[in-house]
Amino acid sequence: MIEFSHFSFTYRHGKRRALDDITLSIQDGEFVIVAGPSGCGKSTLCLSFNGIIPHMLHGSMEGEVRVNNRNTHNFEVRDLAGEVGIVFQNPDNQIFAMTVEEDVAFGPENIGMSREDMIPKVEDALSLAGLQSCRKRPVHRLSGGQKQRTAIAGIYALSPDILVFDEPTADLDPSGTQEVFDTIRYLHKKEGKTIILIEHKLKTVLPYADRLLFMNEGKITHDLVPDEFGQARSGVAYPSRKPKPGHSIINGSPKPAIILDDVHYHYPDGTPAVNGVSLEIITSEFVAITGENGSGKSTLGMLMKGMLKPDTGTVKIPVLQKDQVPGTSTKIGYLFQNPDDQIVMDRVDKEIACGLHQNTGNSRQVAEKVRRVMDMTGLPDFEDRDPNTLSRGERQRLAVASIIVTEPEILIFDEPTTGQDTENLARLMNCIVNINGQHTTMVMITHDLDLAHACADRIIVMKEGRIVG
Amino acid sequence: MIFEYVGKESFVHRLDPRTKIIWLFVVTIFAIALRQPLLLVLLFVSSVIPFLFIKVPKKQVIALIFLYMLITAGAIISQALFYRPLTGLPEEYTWIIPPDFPVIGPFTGGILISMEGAIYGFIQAFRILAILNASAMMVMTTPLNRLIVGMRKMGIPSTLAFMLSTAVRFVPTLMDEYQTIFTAQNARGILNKWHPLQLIEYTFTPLVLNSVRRCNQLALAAESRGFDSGCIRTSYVSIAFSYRDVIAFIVMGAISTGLTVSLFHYWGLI
Repeated sequence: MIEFSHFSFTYRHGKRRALDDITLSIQDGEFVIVAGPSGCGKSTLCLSFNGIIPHMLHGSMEGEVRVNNRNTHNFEVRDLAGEVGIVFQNPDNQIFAMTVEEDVAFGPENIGMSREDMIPKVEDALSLAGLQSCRKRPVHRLSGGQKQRTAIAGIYALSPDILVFDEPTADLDPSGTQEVFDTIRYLHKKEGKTIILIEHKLKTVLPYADRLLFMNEGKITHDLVPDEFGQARSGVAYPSRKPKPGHSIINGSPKPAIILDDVHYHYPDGTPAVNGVSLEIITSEFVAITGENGSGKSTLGMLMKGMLKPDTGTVKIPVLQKDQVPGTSTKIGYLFQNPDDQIVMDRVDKEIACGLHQNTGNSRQVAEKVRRVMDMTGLPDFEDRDPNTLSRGERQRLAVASIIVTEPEILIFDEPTTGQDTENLARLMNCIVNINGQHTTMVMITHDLDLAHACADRIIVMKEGRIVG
Repeated sequence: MIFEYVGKESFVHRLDPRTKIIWLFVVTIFAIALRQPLLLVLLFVSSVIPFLFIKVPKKQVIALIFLYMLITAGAIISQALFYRPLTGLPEEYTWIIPPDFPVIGPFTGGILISMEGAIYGFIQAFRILAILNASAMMVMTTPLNRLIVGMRKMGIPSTLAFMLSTAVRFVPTLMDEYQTIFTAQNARGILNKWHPLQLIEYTFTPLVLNSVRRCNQLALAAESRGFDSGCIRTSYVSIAFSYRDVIAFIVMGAISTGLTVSLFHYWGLI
């Protein structure tokens, strides 16, 4: 049983209350979903369940939180580990040991459980998460879904009654997401655990839930029971496509931007990734490449960018001059999943201008270009901000900005939806569609078919290294 | 990788990690204490014994031999050049740069190459190689988690052991991450191989920033799982001495006794 009474919290450097006068009680065995736009306070709420707030993240608080009648203010996080378990978004950042079973045992080791008691606990947890077969595997060789299930098993081994999940599937692919949802569902139905789940994929998880909380600006705005879920179930609103002027056809026949001719590619270990793909993408076309995990869609993207060389067959990019290397050419932009892998500067404008060094114009031209892409990506007046103080969605758009500033003719996006909430995704897609409107050829690799349908002119479906649709 | 765990089962693999740590310790002590060429060669030979039980893949053997030859050559050449007896000059030598050579001569006191030095270097090499053998054997036959449990049982603090194992666990993760960062920055066209410093800045900055973020989250996750709860940490991985370790200790004892007796003999104590 969890009770919040008039609980408010402001982060130490926060301008406003992250949580504002929350009064809430959650009964044993309930399955509660928490939803709301980014920055609404749902993660802060989660961190308050086991005392991370106020013990590890500091700020000013009012009111109190009681978990099984213990006031979290009076107990350290580690002392509440047996009552509340929390699973975070990034599976890599919560695994400590080198192998699966040792990580599951990490919690029991910490509380000094004897080895005799520990072994059945670990066994139980492994079978719950379906990990018996890979118990000895080093954690870096696990898939995202397996890692996240390892994290869940590790929490379960401490036998808490309350399990909190903070966007556990945001970094996972569809099959990993399903694995994690199945495990969570089992924990609720068969083990009778209290579940609190922050999740954007409402369509999938709502059927499991007993209760849905909507938050906004630190307050709970709706507290719904299943009969009322209907109003929340409306899907993701992607930007609707504006009809494009057929510019590529205006100047005679359509010009191809990327031509692939019977391309084959094997990974170094011999697994075939791309198996005879022939494809022509026309200038200023928006193509989405979809397919299951391991279907070769990301490899295809890397082949187009020239980061990988095909074993046989050719990749032709007509806009490149003969001496240009496609891999590092700025004519082809490539956006990776995680924007943090490419942000280096301490100011937004410097970060964007960074790619312009090689072909320097004068500083006024540079400033002009930077301004223009900042407007395009919805980051106006951000030039002197430190990228690390931006939200994830803003950082992602900054990464887009720093790539389009070099005016690429072709832009490739690898899974732009990973780690994004719907609102940020909608803004990102708006900005992508906008860029496409300016004659840039777009290739988007995604597993999200809805998104592909909403944005793309053409959808290419891949399976086992071949194009099947 | 030359020093990498070889996942095969053998007599040496099944030994308790503590036995192997003690062996490394014993070999190191002798490598420091022994000065006599014959005894150092004997020590080296003993340090090869465990390898007779491990089926080391050919590639690794070749790499090891190559490394050993490099070390031996390095020791011989450097000692031949720089070895001098306490007083006077070595018995057999040739000047490379005589002391009366302009500028360099008086400055260095002359550079010579001596036979005695070369022999001394050859002997020196066996010291290093014996220690290398013992450590290679330990790493090749012991999974790191067991090694760390071994060290914990031998008294290193459990927080230090935790830091060690977490650090090792994140090595592959960080390597993957660096690869992705490098590819991402290269795709942006901002990496220039003629500007190595800039290249380091553009690839390491995101790596460090990501790691700082990761550390903050790791701290939250660790504490949520009861880390540092004030209890004595227990261990899921168990290690125990077996009859194999008894055999190993007998062999180790015999080798140590043999070497010690010969050493005393050289010193004229026996």
